[in-house]
Amino acid sequence: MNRSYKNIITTALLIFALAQGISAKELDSEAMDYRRSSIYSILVTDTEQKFSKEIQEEFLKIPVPDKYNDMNLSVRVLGTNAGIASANALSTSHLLGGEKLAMAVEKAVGGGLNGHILNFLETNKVGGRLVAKWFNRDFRTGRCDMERIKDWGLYNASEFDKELAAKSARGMAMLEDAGEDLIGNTFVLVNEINYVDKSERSKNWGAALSVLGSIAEAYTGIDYLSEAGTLTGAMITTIKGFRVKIRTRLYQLEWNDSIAMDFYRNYYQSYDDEAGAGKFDAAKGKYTLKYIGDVTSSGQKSSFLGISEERPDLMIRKACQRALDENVADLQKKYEQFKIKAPIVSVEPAIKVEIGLKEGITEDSRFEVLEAQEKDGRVVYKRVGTVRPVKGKIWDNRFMAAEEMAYGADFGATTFKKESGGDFYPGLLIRQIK
Amino acid sequence: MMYRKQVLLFAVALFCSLSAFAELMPDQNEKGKYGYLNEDGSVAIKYAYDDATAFVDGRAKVRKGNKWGYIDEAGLEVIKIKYSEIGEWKNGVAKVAVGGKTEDGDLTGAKWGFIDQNGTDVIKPEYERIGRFEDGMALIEKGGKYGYLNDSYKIVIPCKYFSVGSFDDNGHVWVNEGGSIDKNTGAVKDGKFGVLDRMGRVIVPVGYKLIGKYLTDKAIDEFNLSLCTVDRYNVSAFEDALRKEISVKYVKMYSGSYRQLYFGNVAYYEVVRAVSNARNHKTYNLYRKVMGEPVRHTAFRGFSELMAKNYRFELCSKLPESESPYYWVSENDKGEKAGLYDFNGRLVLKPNEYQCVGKPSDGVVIVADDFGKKKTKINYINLKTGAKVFQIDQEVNLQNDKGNFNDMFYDYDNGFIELSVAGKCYLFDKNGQKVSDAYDIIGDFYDGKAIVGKDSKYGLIGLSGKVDVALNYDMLWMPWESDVPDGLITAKKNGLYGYIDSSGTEVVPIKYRSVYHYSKGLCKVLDKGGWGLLDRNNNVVLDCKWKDVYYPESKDVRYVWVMDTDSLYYNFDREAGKIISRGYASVLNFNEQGVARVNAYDPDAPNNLGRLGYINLKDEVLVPFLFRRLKDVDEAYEKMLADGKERLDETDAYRYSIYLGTERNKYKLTDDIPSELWDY
Repeated sequence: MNRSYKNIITTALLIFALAQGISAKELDSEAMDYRRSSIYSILVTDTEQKFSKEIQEEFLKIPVPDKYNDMNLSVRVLGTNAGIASANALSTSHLLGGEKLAMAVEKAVGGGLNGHILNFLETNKVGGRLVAKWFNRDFRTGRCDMERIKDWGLYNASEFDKELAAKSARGMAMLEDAGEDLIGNTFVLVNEINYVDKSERSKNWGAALSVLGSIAEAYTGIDYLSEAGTLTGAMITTIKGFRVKIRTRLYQLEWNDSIAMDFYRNYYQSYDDEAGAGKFDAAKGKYTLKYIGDVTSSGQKSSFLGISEERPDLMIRKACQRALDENVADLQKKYEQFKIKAPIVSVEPAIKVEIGLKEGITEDSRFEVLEAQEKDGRVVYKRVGTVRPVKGKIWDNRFMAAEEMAYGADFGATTFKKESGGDFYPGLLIRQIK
Repeated sequence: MMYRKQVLLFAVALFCSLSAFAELMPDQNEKGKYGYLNEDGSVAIKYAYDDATAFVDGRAKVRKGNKWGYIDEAGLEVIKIKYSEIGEWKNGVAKVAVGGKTEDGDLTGAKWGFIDQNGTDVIKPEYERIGRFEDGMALIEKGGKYGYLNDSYKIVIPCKYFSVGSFDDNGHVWVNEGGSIDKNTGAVKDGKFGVLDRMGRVIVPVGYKLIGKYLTDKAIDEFNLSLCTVDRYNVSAFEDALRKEISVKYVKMYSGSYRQLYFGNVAYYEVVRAVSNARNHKTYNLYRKVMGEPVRHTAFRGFSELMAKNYRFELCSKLPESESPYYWVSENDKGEKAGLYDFNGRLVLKPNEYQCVGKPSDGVVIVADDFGKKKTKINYINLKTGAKVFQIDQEVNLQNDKGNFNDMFYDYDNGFIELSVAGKCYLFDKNGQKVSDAYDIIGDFYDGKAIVGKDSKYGLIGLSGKVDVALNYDMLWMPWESDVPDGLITAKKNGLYGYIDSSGTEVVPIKYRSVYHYSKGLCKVLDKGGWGLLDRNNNVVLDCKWKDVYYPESKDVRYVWVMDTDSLYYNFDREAGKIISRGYASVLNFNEQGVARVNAYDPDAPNNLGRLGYINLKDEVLVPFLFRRLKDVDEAYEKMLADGKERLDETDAYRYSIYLGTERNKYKLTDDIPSELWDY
């Protein structure tokens, strides 16, 4: 066939293929392996506030933020006592008026909550429990294993075991590497969620609690059994406009070479030994968490467009999840160690990465492109270029963006353009620098 | 040349079709206004909007000021921008609001309706409220009155009612006119009640002060009725106990005995007033005494005060489940002098004719006058004909509690009723005709036969009233599952037991020391060696050599739990002919997956009932014996399956038990949470 015919056909087919959304090389980032930091997420809440029960229920449904490993422990919700009720509860009712007053009060009282949180983490030996979880420790027998580390650290399992057994330099390096990149990147997020009470402004909230108190029953059809308290012939309720304000505090597990060596030498046991188990239990308190910082959500209201009236639980979930995601994105921007790396999933016809508005990306964000290189058992990340998002092509991946019919909700990924660097390929990681 | 041209045309055609895939993108300018851009960035639709969404099927929702509408890709309004809110599209129709005021996302004071894709009104927006659709019906409110809309957008119940309930499983809803709200309870009171169906048809016309239903035991359970006696009727010492609050379990216990076949010669009625725990509700129960124990004969209650609780919300109250497809109605507050409507809306008994009306059964209802007096009059009404069953009312002395009465009153069943007259029982039909001879006792019918007794000998009569099986037995018992046909009747003769069928044939010889009622196709019998199982044809399923046998699910199962001399249950493999497990204190049958929940043996626990766990047919532990509560061990098992595991080790099981409970999330920030609530 004449070459020119072939070119036209090839071009046409290629265009057709592109229109169908098929790119030459595209990968599913869910299936892609890359190391992530880990999060244990806790809710601290005033159990007397309105919607406390609903907020708790919805909080427990929110998964660990995207691109982090799940290091949750069994305790996820903590109530605040009257004596140390966060100022947020006080401040929100002043939001419409004395914003500055609210902030001042918050600073004075809310700051005190950090002390209580650190106390809680210490008293309950949360650091030690996170270490135990890293090593899959059986609390009855004391037996530990490296399965989680091998899995999340993306090590070749048999090679890892071999090197460790041989106590080779490479094996030791792998352990150190796991310590630094994995265990040391374990974070605790303590989320203080307060409902923004509109009761001063609306008369329709009286029975709202009872309606929502029966969310569970409504969907099993036993609505006439709802334990709604004393309804006083209250008027129609609505929870449109439901808002929360969330203050998220970030803590990091302290883990360095000497802590690691002490653990391996004295407490790691790969066999059952109840006496040994007792030793670690007594020493759990020595693993600590340090406070990194905190952020507060804007308290912006979420649109409930796209949420059917039948789902007030989704309205609450959306309000909470959006605010939490906003905080996680802000923490990532503020604190270097909390930043995530996300893999490039395709480079043809454009560079695409499955991050978006949820991660706080704007047109002005800039990212470095990293290549993970393994050397002597350690993984190092080398910068190989920089990219920035393309205007109008930022994916709206916030919770329920699709239902809201938000612009960009159906993109699936954000498109980036190269600013500097050589040829990129799928699997390289990007990390925000601005 | 030809080929080249064809290929070029193909490419051009592709380009043309591809351009249809190009979407306009909303864009915001520096002034904050929205418009739409082409893919190449050129302006397709001017920046004229205060909000804009993506195009879907060629239309996009846009806002100007605080009004919404839809435009097409040419920028033309296809739905006028005049709505305060436009909801989701369902089958080409969307809920809309006009007017009103929005504050913080909360729209108040608007009028609601529905439009189609062309913006034409399907339901004119003149409703203060349109609720969500539930089972195809949505509550509507106009001018402070309520009605219902169906999902074909037809107003089936116009907005003229002060209050309405929610539709129940029969498609019925209660309505109220002229009522008011009790400020303390939120219930509807006063006014008149009625019942309508999903098409708006009248089932019970609006005109009654009270409307009630005959509740199932389950419904009573759910409303947690409690009972107390009314002391204006002389009550015996036993009934004194009823003055205390008794839960519905008590009622159920005695309701169960209603189906037992031990009838005494004495029965009398007393009315006890039942008061609902939660809501000061009144129910009248007609009690019959059998063998000295009160048995609930019938119950009716008014629901109106209770049901209106959530009247203004989508979660409106539904009429409860009922045992009998009738509504009783009353024009007075106490529910006296009731009338009856059937579920098709037919008035089958006029109100104000009888002081007390019982529960209809088999198309017949018991009625009473001069209740509580020396000569209380009792009769039955045939609801089909409207006529009294008996020409003369039965007179019963309800003042005397010592019970030298010789009348018994039951419900009609299979077209007949057992009644006692002058100390003897007869079968009467619905026309009041005696169809049987006199007996000391007549039992309930099963499979067309009823057990009868005379001079301490028992036999069977058929529906004709004639004796089918001669009264030769010392005692007879019906099968356990009275709703499963073709069962066997337990028979006793000369101190020994066996089984007969309904024709009187001795299917299992009467030679056993003891037996259980026929159940699940099996006869559990006690011979000199111990307990064993036979099938309906007298074939041995399990030899008689056990201290006890746990009824298997059917006669064909291979594995049966047997109790050995140590009082523990063991899994017996019928094919292998031997025991294949350890002993357990309590067991359940293996399910289809070959898994059973059991209690371990614990000599220190009450009844030796140790903790719960799950095992398989190989006697391997799948869920360790860590759980005290049924609910927890069952949930752990379900979670194990959901996690794709085949078994749990003790640590896993322990962790599951932590996650199953909510205890772990009930602590405060200042607490030192117990170790046993942490999973690591």
